[in-house]
Amino acid sequence: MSTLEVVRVESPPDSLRNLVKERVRDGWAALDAKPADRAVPGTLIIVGIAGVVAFVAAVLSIRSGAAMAFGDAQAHLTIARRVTDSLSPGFSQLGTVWLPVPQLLLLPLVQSTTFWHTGISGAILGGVALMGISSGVYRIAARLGIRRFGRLVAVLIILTNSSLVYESTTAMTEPTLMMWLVASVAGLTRWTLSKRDLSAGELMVFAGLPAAAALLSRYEGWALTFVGTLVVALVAWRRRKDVKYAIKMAFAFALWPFIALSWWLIYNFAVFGNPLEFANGQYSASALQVGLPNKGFLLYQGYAGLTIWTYAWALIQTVGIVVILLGLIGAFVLTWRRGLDNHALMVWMLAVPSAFIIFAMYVGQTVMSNDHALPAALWNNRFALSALPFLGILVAYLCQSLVDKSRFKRLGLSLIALAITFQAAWWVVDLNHSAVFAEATASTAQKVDSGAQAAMRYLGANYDGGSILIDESGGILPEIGIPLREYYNVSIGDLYLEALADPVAYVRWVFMRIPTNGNGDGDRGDAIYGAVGELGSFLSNYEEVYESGPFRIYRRIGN
Amino acid sequence: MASLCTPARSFRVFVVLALTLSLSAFSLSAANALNGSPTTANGVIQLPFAQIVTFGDGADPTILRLPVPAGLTPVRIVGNLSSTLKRVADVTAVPTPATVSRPRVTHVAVGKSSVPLNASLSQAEIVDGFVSLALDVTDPPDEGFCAAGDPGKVTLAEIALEVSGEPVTPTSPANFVDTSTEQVRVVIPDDASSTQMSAGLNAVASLTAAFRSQARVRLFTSKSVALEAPLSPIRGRLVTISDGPEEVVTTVVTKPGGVPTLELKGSGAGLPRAASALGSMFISLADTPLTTGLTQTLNQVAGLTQPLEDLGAGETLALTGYGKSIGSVTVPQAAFGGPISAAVVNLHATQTVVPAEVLSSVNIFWNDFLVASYSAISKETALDFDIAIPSTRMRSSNSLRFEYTAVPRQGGCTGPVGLLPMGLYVDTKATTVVGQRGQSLDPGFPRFPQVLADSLPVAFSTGLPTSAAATSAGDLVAGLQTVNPRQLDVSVVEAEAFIEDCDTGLFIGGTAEDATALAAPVRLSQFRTFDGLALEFGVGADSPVSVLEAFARNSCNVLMLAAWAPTAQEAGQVDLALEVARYPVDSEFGWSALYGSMLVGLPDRTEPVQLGTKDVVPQEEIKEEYRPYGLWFAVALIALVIVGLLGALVRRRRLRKIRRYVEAELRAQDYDTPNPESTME
Repeated sequence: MSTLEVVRVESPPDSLRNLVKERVRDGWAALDAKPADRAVPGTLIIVGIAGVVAFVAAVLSIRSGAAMAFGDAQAHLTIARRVTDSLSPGFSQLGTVWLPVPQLLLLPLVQSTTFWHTGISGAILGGVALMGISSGVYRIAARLGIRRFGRLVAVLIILTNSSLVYESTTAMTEPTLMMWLVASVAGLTRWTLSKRDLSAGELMVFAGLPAAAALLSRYEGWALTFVGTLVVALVAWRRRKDVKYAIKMAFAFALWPFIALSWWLIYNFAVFGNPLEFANGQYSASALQVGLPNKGFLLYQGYAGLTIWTYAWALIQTVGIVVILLGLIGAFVLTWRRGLDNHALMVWMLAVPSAFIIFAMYVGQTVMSNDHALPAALWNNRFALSALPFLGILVAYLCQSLVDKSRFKRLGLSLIALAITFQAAWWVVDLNHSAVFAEATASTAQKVDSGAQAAMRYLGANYDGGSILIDESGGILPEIGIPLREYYNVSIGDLYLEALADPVAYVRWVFMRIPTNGNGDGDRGDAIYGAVGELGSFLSNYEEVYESGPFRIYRRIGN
Repeated sequence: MASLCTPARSFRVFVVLALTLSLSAFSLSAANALNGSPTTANGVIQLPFAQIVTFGDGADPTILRLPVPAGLTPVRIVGNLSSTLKRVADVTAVPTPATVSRPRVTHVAVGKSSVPLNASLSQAEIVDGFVSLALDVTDPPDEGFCAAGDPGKVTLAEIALEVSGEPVTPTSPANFVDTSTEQVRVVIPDDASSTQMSAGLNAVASLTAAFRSQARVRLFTSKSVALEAPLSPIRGRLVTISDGPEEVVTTVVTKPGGVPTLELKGSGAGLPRAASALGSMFISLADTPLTTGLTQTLNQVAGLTQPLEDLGAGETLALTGYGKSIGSVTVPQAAFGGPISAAVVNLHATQTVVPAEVLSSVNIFWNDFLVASYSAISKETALDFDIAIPSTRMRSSNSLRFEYTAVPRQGGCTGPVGLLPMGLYVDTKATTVVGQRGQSLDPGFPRFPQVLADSLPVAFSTGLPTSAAATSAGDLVAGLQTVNPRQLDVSVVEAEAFIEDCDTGLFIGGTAEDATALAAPVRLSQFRTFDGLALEFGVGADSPVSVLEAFARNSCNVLMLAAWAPTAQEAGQVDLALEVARYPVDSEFGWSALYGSMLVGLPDRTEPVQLGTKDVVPQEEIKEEYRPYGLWFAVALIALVIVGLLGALVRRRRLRKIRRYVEAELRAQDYDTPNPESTME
């Protein structure tokens, strides 16, 4: 038999144009290449594209001030900053209201006052998260055997989602959680589907470590760790039918999260004297939610139908009805073709945070509201964003099924591409189609209408030293822009109480919120007002220098 | 700029609508408390009035205008004067207009304690059935023309008009209601048909539209009217509706010493139309005791462009003089024949030339929000521009206010001698408000009455007995009519049809089933409000409750009156329903004072409580309505499981098939390959 040898003659690149063409061709081919052991060709391309999207979004968001719209975003920045910049610095400033990883990641970034004040630090972390989510989804799709079209559809679903892209320009924690979620599942997918028998150590590093980070980012990470451990045990059992092997692998996956959890419990105990301070302390989520039912929220508690309705509308207004419907079809196709085999298990792992959110709502531990909920409001719809990677992979799987076995391949893929384009256009036509953006807009409007923004800007522009007494620990301090060591607030503990008792001796400036009239919820003003607002001694030592709505700024008379 | 001094006399307030109000509000106000019953002593009839007049703050004299029943001669106006002024006030009371060469002036010195007023009157001073008294405080302070006025005021209360003679009883529909009528009771049979009920409600609407600020019109059945306090023959009127021939017969009858009664007898569609004509401007044509064929068909078409004159601004709106002058016009959405979401005011006005020595400005407010400001420092005398009113500023009843300010640059309150008087003259015919059809208000009371578009279907369910249902419906019709510029065309429809056809209208006596069928936001069962709001505890659990609820259902808007109670307390719930129904028409500010979407009557409250739908914790029934979504979610999950199982089954069968095929292939290969040990010889 003769051998036909194909000799490829490489012609040197005689122009930049040829070089670019060659690179594009190679990149295009890489996006369809099968994954190697560790490397997944095309990952860097996706990282680059996501980076560009994140950068452009960050510029727009920071310049418009949208990056600082959420009070929670400013609070995360402040918590990170006050670890080093405070009258009482230290890691105890991390507190227990939120899990610590997002703040720890922000810690180096907020050392620059400019980055902290403008929100650039949050945009940097969020941009990295967006790149991580996009590349993670791409890698999961590649390892599941999905080819280029499906992979790109999954990435497009991520990068054209205005809610996620906007959130990634802020210091909110959802993008961080999603990054760790996707990273952990990508690692799990590799371990599960690799032809080579991967070691427990590799499982620990590539899946367990991101799971640990997710566990200390948001409580959805706890559900991910728990379910992930069970899934690892099941996959290991399927592989070798050996209980010891299954336990070993499950332990390997759960070890880093266990260490992280232990550290967190020890931290709570060391700082607050209660290892469960984050769960039942004064500033825990459950404590902060105690009064919500009487204010009309958490009405879905115990009502499955109302819970599903509320969550569904949050999903529609953050992820989009098109993606949901395509994902639903993808779910049926996946289940039909694969049941609950190892491939399918990896996909369903991505749904764990969503299932956790629904469960948490049903038991009254998570508050969420939108314009279809009872009552109608805009609150925390961004929690539904954690379903985006799951739905993206399902749509990618649907695409792959059409490629594999359908005579309607071209038509089907065209329709999917059109639908995704339509969904993307929907978000762009009016940014307030996104409940996340609408909530941010409402939050900004509330700041302006209440007079808070004007008061913040006045203080930021006119502060000339002498310290500030304020009953505010995070939600507006970055926007004011004054270093945190200038503040006497509740985060510094006893020193704050001393200043509250005798402001003259401690502070030159006082920022106060007085009671508002006609407010049905019995607004009594803030703690500063409660302590000194109507004291003659206070008013004889301080003069009012600014007033905006219920906000008052006082300066000590004399010096 | 020199400080604006606002002395009492320089601060002129020309409130056009208030002027209209001053002519009538201090006479009879049907929306407020009813006046007391007349008494007779020594041949003199004393007609008490409930209103209270306040004057003496430096404004022009206040006019007190009282109606005189036909046939009676006014003798005097009496009352009680009290003062919060720091000095002894010399109060003058002058009958106006003066009809004798020397006006009769009554002076009363009012100090720290109250003193009686006794201003004599004569027949000659009756104008259009009214006598008027100009009240003023006549001794200004000596501190100077521009000094601030003495803070305080004089109040005239316990007002009564003493008259003599015999009242002329009405003899025809034309003169059935006169200026002194303050109560009209419309009576239908106990077992009234829907035609008779419709006639009764149309009579209420018609008479309220015609005499809205003067007479309180209510609907009763024969049984329930007997339980009411007797009507005054001078101030009260009865309208009875009963069965009769197809051509409606209208008769006015007055028994000696009895209350004048108009009887409407008829049947068919003519009966409601006849009742609808009772308040018509053409009723003066029905000037015989017995009339047949009385009818009115309402063909009202209201356009989206309304001149200020038609909105009640009068022929001219003139703001003149130094200081600040104010003129305002009420712009109800109902004037446009339906809801409007936004508007444009096309202003056409003229101002006097502004000398260099004077600072002048025109500020225009919509619901107290500044929408236009014009500094009149120019030679332009014509003001001709459009003012856009956004939907965010739109209410059910809106106020358009013009403020004209003119002050001399060097201060003071009048210009130097020789300066022309300042003034802004708004052309009320040319100045229009152009509405943009649409809805900008949240569902609730503020959407009424404009969503009715002058047409009011009323449905009756079984939640209230007929008499209470009729009276409640009549009170609600009257309440809506007082704030609707045109007469409402009332029709009675079947409750089932109302629910099915999604009518916009009134639903009386709703039951729990009706509330569910209408998808009312608050159902007829116990509920509670959120923290810190009007109701501290839950309601409807162990005491009766009545609710007037306003809500939107798809594209229609419903006003539902319902009441419920734990068993054996039915009387309590009926009384509460009557109380809630009459609140909008009897309260101080009428329907306009209703906000939110619920009026809740409770046995331990003197007044109903106002709530919004958002104030109420969604009830179990509301939350349970979302159950199907949970079921569908479960169905989807089960479907997934079934698909998974089926898929597994199919894969297993395929695998078995492949295995059998492979085994067969292998067997076939074995068969074809010769066995080395076998011999074929």
